[in-house]
Amino acid sequence: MHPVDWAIVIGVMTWIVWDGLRRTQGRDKLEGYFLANRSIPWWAAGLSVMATQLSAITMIGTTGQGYSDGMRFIQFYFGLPLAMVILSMTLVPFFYRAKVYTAYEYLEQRFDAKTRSLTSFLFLLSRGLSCGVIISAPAVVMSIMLGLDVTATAFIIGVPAIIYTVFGGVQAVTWTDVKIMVLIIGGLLATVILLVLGMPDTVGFADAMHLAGVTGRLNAIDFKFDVKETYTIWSGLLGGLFLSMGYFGADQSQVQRYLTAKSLHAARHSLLMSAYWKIPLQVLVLLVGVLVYCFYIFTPPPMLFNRVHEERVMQSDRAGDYKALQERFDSTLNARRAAADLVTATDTPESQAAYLKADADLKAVRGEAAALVKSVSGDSSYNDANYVFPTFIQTQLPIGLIGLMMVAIILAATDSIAAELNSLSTATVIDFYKRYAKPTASDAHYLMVSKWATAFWGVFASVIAIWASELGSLIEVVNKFGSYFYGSILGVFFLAIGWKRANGTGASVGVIAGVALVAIVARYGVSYLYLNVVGVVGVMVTGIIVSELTRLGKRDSGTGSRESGTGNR
Amino acid sequence: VTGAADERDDEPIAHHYVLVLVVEAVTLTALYLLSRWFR
Repeated sequence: MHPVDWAIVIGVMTWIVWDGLRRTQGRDKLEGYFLANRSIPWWAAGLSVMATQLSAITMIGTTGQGYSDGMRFIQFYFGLPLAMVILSMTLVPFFYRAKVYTAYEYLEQRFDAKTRSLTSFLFLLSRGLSCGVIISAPAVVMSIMLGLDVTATAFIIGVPAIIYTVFGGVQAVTWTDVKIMVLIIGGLLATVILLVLGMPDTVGFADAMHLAGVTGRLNAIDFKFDVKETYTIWSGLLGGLFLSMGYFGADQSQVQRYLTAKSLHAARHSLLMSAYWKIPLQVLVLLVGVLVYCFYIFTPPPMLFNRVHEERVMQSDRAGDYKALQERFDSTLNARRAAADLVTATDTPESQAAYLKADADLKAVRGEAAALVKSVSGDSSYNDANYVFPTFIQTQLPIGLIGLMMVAIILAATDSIAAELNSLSTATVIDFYKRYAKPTASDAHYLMVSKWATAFWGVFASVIAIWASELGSLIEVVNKFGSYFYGSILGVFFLAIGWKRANGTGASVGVIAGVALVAIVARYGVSYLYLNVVGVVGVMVTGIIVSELTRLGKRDSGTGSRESGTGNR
Repeated sequence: VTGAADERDDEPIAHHYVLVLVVEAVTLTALYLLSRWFR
């Protein structure tokens, strides 16, 4: 990168950390450190909710998905607005009025300590491990772009987050999120404008979009119903609804964002911000990918977007194979350009078919090149689509905007990891340390422990991130394992507010049964979006049955006492 | 002032819920029409 771009990256990162550290003032109480004394305005909490969800994986992976697969991924988010409405009406008032620090704390008020500890433990387990992936996935890509090794890049992403989260607490996390969201949205809009202006004079924006449409990249809605298909309108509306409810309603990393809001009214509005803006934002991200595809119809793209892998293949004994592929790629690229010109000039079914064939040929050559890279490098998980947007930024954007977009991607990872660390520390201290180890210590003591807990989770995530590339498929297993918990944890909350006679035993048995049921159903290839529905139903049905049976058992044994957890609080 | 009750906490918010659903319906329709338009 140009020195100006490096200066922008370093300058913005330094400003973010410095501003986060500034927020240490007044953070001498636990409620200030974890909940900002519930003083955050709705719009800042709302932007923090959105920033936590929008990680660097979104910036890199989703734009890559737009480039290679088009807009269909947007269906994943169709259930989100509805989920926000349901949560605003149901769980949010319960959390807010219960004056809790963690979502799981509410479960002890409603059920018992074991239900709270079990759900909080499941959160720590899944989130703690996924933290490493949030750092490592973008670190692998950005290390190529920045010309650094993966470990150094992981530190560039992780260390600022650890520093400002340890010292600034949730205030630093929230206000940093606000700044980063502005940076990301501004950068994406600037990129869209440059992409539209960057089309050749002879090709209008509508022509370019038409070519993307011919390949099906603008097909955002698929009405086919298939439980094994992940991206359809039905999986998005139903599976996405439950996934979003699980993420925003039962995952501490999100619940903590809106618990910082200054009132229940503000907490609800912070969630509704995502309800209104999440789909348009994701459309923008995917559209960037589609426009990059359009751009590379008229500007020759590299055969592979990861230059380091390309160089490695060229230095191997398969260099001859790669050169042959490159020649095929060049001629196919010319054929596609000619077909594109024909579609633009005479839009007939024949010219469209010719374009589709040329595009498919090009995709096949790129597929062969990627397979060659996998075989030479041994990197079986290599996905060239992840390198499309970063490579476009580095090679096509003007100096200055390159630095701005690079730092936006890095900070997208940083702000997500900061929110995770903050929530992991909160659950560790509030649900375990304060609950079991030292229930009556001073605020200063808890604050000190909280900072150490944040630092611990930061180091833990960094270690996982550095080892993640070596762990390979193990990380995928861990992530998959984590996804089994979402629906089940959400099911407990629905059981809590939806079934007055539910008790702690029913809830705990329900969680275990829900996780087991999800694990069984997942073996039959059902899309993971539907697994959350299975988890919720599994927990609620089991929880209700066990609760009723235990009530009957107690009544039969003649105690005549009511379950401690009954009654809607 | 921990979690002070806001006088607006009980303010009706149902119009936002309806508006969210309307915005989503419009967005989905727009996305569908976009794919048809540029086919």
